[in-house]
Amino acid sequence: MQRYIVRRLLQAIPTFFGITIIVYFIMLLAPGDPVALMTFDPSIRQDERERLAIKLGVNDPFHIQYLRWLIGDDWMLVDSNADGEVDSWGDNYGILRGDFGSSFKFRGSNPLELISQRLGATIELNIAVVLIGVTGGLLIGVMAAVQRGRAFDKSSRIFAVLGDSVPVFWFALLAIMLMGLVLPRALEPYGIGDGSPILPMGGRCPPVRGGCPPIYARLHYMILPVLVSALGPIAGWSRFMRASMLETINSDYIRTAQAKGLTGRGVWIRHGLRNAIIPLMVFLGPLMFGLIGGSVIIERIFSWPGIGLLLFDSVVSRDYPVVMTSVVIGSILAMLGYIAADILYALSDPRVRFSGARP
Amino acid sequence: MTKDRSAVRIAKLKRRHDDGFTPSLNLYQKAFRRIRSDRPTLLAMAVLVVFVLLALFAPFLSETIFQVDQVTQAVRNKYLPLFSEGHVLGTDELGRDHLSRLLYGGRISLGIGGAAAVLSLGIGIVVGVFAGFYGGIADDLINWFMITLNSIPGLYLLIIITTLLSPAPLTLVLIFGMLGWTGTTRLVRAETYSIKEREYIIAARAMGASNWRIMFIHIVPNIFSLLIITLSQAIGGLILAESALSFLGFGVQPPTPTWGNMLSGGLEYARKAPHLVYLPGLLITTTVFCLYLIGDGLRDAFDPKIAD
Amino acid sequence: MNKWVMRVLLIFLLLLALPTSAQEFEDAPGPGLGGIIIDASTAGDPATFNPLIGSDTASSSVYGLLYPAIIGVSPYTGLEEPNLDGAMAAGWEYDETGTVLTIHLRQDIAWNDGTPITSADYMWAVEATRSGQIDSPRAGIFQTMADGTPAGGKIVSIEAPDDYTVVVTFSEADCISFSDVNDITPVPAHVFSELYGDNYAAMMDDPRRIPTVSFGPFKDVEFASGERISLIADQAYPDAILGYVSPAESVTLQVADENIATERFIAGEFTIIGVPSIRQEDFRTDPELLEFPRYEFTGNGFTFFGMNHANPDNPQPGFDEEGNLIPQEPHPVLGDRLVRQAISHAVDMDALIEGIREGNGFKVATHTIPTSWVYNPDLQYEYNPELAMEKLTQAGWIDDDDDPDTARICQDCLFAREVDEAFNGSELTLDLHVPAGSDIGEQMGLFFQAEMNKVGFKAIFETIDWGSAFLPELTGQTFDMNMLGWSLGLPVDPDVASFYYPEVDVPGSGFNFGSYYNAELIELNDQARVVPGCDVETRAEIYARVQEILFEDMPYFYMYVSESMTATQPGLGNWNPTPISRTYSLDAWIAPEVTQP
Repeated sequence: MQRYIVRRLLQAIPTFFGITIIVYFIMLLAPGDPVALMTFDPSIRQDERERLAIKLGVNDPFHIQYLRWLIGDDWMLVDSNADGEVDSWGDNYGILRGDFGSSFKFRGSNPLELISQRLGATIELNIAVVLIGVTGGLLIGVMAAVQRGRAFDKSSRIFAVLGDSVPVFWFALLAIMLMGLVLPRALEPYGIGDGSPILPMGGRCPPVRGGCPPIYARLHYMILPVLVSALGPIAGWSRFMRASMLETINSDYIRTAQAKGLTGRGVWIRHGLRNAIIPLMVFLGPLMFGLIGGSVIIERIFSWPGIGLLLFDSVVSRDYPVVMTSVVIGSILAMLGYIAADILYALSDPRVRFSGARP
Repeated sequence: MTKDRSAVRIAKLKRRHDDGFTPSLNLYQKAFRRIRSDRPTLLAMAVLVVFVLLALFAPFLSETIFQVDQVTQAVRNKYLPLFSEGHVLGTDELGRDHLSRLLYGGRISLGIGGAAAVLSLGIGIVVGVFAGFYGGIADDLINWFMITLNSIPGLYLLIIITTLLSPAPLTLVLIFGMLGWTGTTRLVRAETYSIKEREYIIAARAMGASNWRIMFIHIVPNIFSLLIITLSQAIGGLILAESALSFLGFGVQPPTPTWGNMLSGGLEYARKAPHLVYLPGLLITTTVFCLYLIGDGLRDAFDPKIAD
Repeated sequence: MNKWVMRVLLIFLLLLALPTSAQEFEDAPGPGLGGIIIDASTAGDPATFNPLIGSDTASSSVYGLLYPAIIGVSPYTGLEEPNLDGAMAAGWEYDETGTVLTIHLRQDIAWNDGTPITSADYMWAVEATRSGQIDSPRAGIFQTMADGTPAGGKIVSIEAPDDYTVVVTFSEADCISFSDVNDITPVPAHVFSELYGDNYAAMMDDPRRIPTVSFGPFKDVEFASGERISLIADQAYPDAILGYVSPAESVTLQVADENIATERFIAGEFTIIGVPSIRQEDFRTDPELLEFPRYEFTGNGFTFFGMNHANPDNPQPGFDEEGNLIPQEPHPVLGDRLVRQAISHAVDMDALIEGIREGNGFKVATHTIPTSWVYNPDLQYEYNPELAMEKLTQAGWIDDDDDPDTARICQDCLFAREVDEAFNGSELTLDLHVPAGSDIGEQMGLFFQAEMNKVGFKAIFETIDWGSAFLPELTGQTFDMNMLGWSLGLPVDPDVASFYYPEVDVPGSGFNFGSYYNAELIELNDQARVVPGCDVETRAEIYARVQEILFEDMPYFYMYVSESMTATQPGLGNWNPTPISRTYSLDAWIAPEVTQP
């Protein structure tokens, strides 16, 4: 098992380099000039712009910029005082040694630090979505399988497809407006509530001093964003589960159990459920992965301060160091999600054999 | 999510192929018969056909039948509600005819979805067959590239690329196509692997068939049913992706209408003119719903074991 | 002096005098009992809390509450005044040459740790800025940096002969450098020198250090990235309007989407909000929204279509390396003043403001805003399509087929006369570009296109990405007509050097991106800068002519100054907004409770 985990982690190394190369090539396409963007202000003079450009290294050829970014420039001579001649050793260590440079927009800030301030929010949201999405999906899926062909099964199919078909930002806005404005105002005349929002319309924490309270004290802030982003996973997993459950029900050992006198649907649940869930573990990785990307929209709508929102802001302001760091970190997270899901799958299914494991 | 769901189906279908199940006319005949009795899928197909026809004949419908166009502005006639005189579906924030913009927007949204899906499928098939057939280093490289591309969250990549190349509809098709082919490739590659050692392929080779002939005459048709399902799912997913990009401000730029940018643009006018929001929203939802339903129905038709 | 200048000045001075005398504040429940103010911001995270390295508005809105200004700017007049709340200067005077400014400081103010605020605090900030060690956009106010490299400004030296006097020496007497003194924000020297010594660069590594010692109505920043900035009342602040700080806390919540921010305000989640222009009409007309008190004012930013006067295929700087003027090849279409004027007659700006901007916009025809002391209401573009066509014909652009919908053709137009005869027969076509992402911008672009095409242009409209396309072609000087806006810093000075001088005609970065050149304008502007004693009347007279030149030459198609709107929850006490500041009376506010579920 350990060997399997190590091997799985080793496989991630070439992928990591691939990611850095792709990110770099995309940035190569970037026609925008970050210096012009940072200094679009008539009060800034031309030579200040040039100094900034040299300091940021944006005039270097791209392969040099890539190397400086990846492995640092403390092994090469750079032009530190912007006089057009190289004069001293560089002072970047490169991302391989944990130095992601410094943000253009938030001058001097370490992108890694900016991201670490946001990481918790994204992870928290995504874990909640996975939990709600998977359990909700499993429940609906099992019920649909048990009630095969009946009204619940049919309507759950429609629900599943519909849940996937609504543009998520539109659905989220409808939910915000409903809970924040429409419903409270409609209920107020009947003496229910005081017309203020039933659920917070955005944000992650109540605006009180002393930092964000522990998660159980601010669950109401999570309800809307989690439910909206869980809609897709619930829809998807209910379909996986239904299919997997039906397959298990049709399998031989259930028939055997029934032949041995166990009757009714209880046997499906008791014997079938576990075996039906195991194959679905494979999809846990892609689920977590998809959420990291999709959270850009949810985070923007709900002002949820995660890395998706940071990436969005950085892209808009052409803060390349932060954009690149976000993508690299987001990709590493996604890879880890995949690996974790694979390991979980391997652990849960005794049928999976690890090559190189003990005989 | 859609990708994952279709992956389940595909995985199941694939297993059936691997079990020595060779497709025959029979499979398609059976599937056709099953679809004929699947009313939701039939309905979805009918609705979709209507939408496609509306999109295809958008210029004729709007200019000849309704006598309106999508460009003319009349700032004094803005936010007209539904069923106004001369503007059946009202007007937008510039007084442009909403019906006409919806027709043209559908043309572009469906066009982008369709073209990008076909492109990514095409790339996926070619690369997949190539990798599966030749194997070796080429296969390893392609595999590595796919894993890498798949490790970067898709929306991140989309956002960055669309910011860098402000997309016209055609650019967006290319971007979607370039980013969306890996799923198909993986499928096709695995299928090619398993088929290429089968007896009939060996026989074909013995009879002197060229590699290309074997690849595209013998292997591709084998997985045709999978591809059709993938296609309908992909078009739906792409229409949603286009609208999401528009919401973030990176989609097709106005004045070119798409359902996505009409919906996200309309949100600001929701109080004055709700129809600018719910009409494009409903059109996107209905179209994607139909496409997914069709994909679902096809899957059930081709794989009766888990059907109702 | 012209009669109208006198009249305008008089009216303006009267207007200024009005609000100052009418300010009365009601008593609040007591120190820190005035509730919590919750504000929404879409500006994103502040880059820093350090006023010496910050330049974005998100940052300055935080450190603006924590540090004094050297010279106060009145919230009523927008002009520097002595003895203002939250500022150090008690008075100032120039010597007889007009180049040495002596500022006398108040002796009654202290940081909230008890240390008196002195000239040393200002001097530390001056040294840091001048050191060249920090990325500061403000270094440009000095003539030279500390190491002697030229910095381009007018300030030769700043010295502090004693704790309560600051002496600023300028290289020449001019009327626009006075406010440069205020570009540098004093910081508590005893804290900063202990933290950084003279290693000013260390501030760059620590941009988000939380200020421990401050001077202002609020203190103790609490910052959560992407979420919230909170400050609590500082009762040690001596300059509070009521004698104490009324609100307990001031919170700024970040909201990513301004449309959602507006809805959240309507639902009662925020105390105050700057209403996005697209939603302003809702607040004026929607009966549900009329309950919210609102304040509307003509802002300090104007929107215009920049026009390229030089050949976009051959962008040239204003000067060559020896400092000689480089003659610019004219733009094939816009190089001719008649064509530019024709455009101004072709576009119905009233329809644009009424129709597209929902009445939100104050028409202008030069680069001065209506609250400026040089604003001349008589300069207005005339909407007259007939005249537009006439001028086009006169400029050598002929309607050869008598169909106004098709493009006119060059027949001895300027470019054909001066550059290339082969240009004869070309169509009257140009690109109209607007940055992507704004619906209003898109609509205005479409409107311009439609209006121009009616008189015989073939305008090709497109929205393009700001960073990757719009800005490069604008500063690269390869554009035809690009729409953008300036937000002018207050107090607004009518000087035009940073926009229309050949020095700033630098492809790739300069702000005279249209390569506009008019020798008379430059001469007048230079004159107005050095009027003895900076006599406002004399300067106004010169700028009156400057305005006329700008109106006739049309370096830009000036469009409008946008109206801004701020709305609050009903019952916000002591809210006294002025065009200069909506929040200057913040420390006296009595905030109603906002609803947070």
